[in-house]
Amino acid sequence: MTELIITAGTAISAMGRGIEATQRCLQNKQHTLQPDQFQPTGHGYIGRVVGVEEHVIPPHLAQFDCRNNRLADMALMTDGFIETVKTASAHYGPHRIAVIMGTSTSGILSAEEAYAARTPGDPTLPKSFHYTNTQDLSSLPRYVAARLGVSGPLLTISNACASSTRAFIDAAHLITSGVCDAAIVGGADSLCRMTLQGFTSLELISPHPARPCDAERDGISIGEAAGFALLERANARPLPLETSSYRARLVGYGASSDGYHMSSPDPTGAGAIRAMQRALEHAHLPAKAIGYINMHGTGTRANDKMEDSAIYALFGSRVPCSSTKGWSGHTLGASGILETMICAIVLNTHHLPPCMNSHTTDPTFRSDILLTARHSRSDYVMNNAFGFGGTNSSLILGRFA
Amino acid sequence: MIVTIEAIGCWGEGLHGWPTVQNILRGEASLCAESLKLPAPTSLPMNEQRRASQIIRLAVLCAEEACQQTPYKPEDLPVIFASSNGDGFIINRILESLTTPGGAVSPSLFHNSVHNAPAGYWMIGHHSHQPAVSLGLHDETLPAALLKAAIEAHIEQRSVLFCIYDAPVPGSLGTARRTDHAFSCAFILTPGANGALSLTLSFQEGKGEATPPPPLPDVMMNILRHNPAGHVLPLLYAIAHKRDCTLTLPYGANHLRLALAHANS
Repeated sequence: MTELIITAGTAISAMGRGIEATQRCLQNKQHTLQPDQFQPTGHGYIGRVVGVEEHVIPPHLAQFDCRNNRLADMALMTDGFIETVKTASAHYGPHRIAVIMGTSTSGILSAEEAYAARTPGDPTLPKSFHYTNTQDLSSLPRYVAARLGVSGPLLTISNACASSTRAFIDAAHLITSGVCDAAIVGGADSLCRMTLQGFTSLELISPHPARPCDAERDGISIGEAAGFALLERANARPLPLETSSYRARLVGYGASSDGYHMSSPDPTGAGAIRAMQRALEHAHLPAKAIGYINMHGTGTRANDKMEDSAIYALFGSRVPCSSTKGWSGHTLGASGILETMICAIVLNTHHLPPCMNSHTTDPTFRSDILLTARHSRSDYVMNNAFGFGGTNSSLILGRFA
Repeated sequence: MIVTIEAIGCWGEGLHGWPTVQNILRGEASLCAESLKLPAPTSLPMNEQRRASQIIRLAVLCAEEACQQTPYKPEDLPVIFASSNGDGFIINRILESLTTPGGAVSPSLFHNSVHNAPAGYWMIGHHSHQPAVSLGLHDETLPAALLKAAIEAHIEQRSVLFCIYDAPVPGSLGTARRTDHAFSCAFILTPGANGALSLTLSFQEGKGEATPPPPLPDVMMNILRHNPAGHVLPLLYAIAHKRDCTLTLPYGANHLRLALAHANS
């Protein structure tokens, strides 16, 4: 595999705005989930980002205004991301930088508002609703490309909750093929009633803040997040010597399908095992090389049980694992980029975060589930994401040399 | 970057398979107005066959047809599924539900609303464990997905199943996003030029001018103009007429150039 490195990164979620804030949140065990007041009929807890409602995107891009693009814009403005991309763009040329985004619902909240604002008896949506620049899947990469001034190939991956994890694989394919020199990889998924009501209808929302891997876990808390990474070939250009917590190498990836059910994971974990196994093979690493796994760990009975058995099948109880969704909530299509940034933080700080809110590990679990933080230096860490439709992706990140 | 088109599937309202579509493209047949409804795809489990929405039928029917022409087993092929609108029928239903008091939505509509539902059903139908990616990029879904599929075939050095589909969006959402005539197309793509039909793809800087459309029959011209999946029709027209051709597809600030070549037989 072409050696790929992450040379800039940022993430925003209920955990905080940017890498440092996220890192502090992981170290201080701050409670970040709050009761769902996003909708009048809300129940359970959500991971809401502060300040989205007030955020103003640049006037020349006002046509893209929607909650999802505001969230994306807040992330782009953090961690010096725009400036680092500018430097890369000056080196490669803006047309050599691709934008590969993952999202499950894009700016659908704008459509929800437009439906509610219709005149009774008239199906027409208000003129202020602009489908293409908000709800459409292309809205996010077009916004990000315009905001960053890059013009390489655009792509939106919508693989449900594995969207932005899978986006890294597609970006790696594009860079390796030579079609581009670098890619902005990441995604955004923002709070909307469709997902809050949808998961409620499936009876998957916990009345408590999500407790991944806990014996008494009873569902998810939905969250919102946006994040971006600048992915490029190693040694392609001189890099500043600064050490930033987002820096990492992408050393392996694997994708698979369950081929089992639309909304329930295959309880045998066969699909998840395949994705992790393929990532290890791709990275030419033995299972024992992995020092930490950031689990998909949604907090549902079915997902966490399946994932524990899949991890145990490959790694035994040797590898410390945790889910960080007790902090961020399940940020759906954006969970991949958020948790990839968390993996980069783990590689740089050696601080392995525990499962927030969880007090007693499910007694049937056999993996090394972290309920308290641990300090341990890892050369390689893994990030898992699984989604509706039985879609699985695993990434392996390595420490930046 | 060269790929071989090993097999083709093509379905739509009144367009029941690639042989029929070829005849229509050659002006030898017309759209079958009596068979507008799409049949249930046989590769889905029985209970899913009945319930499968139009968009799932579209995707699965053309994918099935392409796979039947090759010795590949469907469960051995990684898939690239592409659609601009996804399931507009379901999205409209959910958006309507959210305006009702309480705003409750149907659980099965919700899990079928994900953009990757057709790929999910395809993988379930074949018990496939291969990678599957679902993409969308509005009116540029075809160049984005075709380039991605060709790159994946090359980088992973294996054949892939490419499938593009879009259908009309009903309700209020349809007033904001016009799409005409359900249409889908699938290719099995193999890296390199090693068969009768090869396609060279080059991603080029600058907008580039879209190739003027060939003299398509009226119904096909309408699909080309008003269905993002229908942008593949000029390519299918050249294949149906056994002609080589070059096409330019606008792709953001750039364009994708396609060169179709028939091997000398």
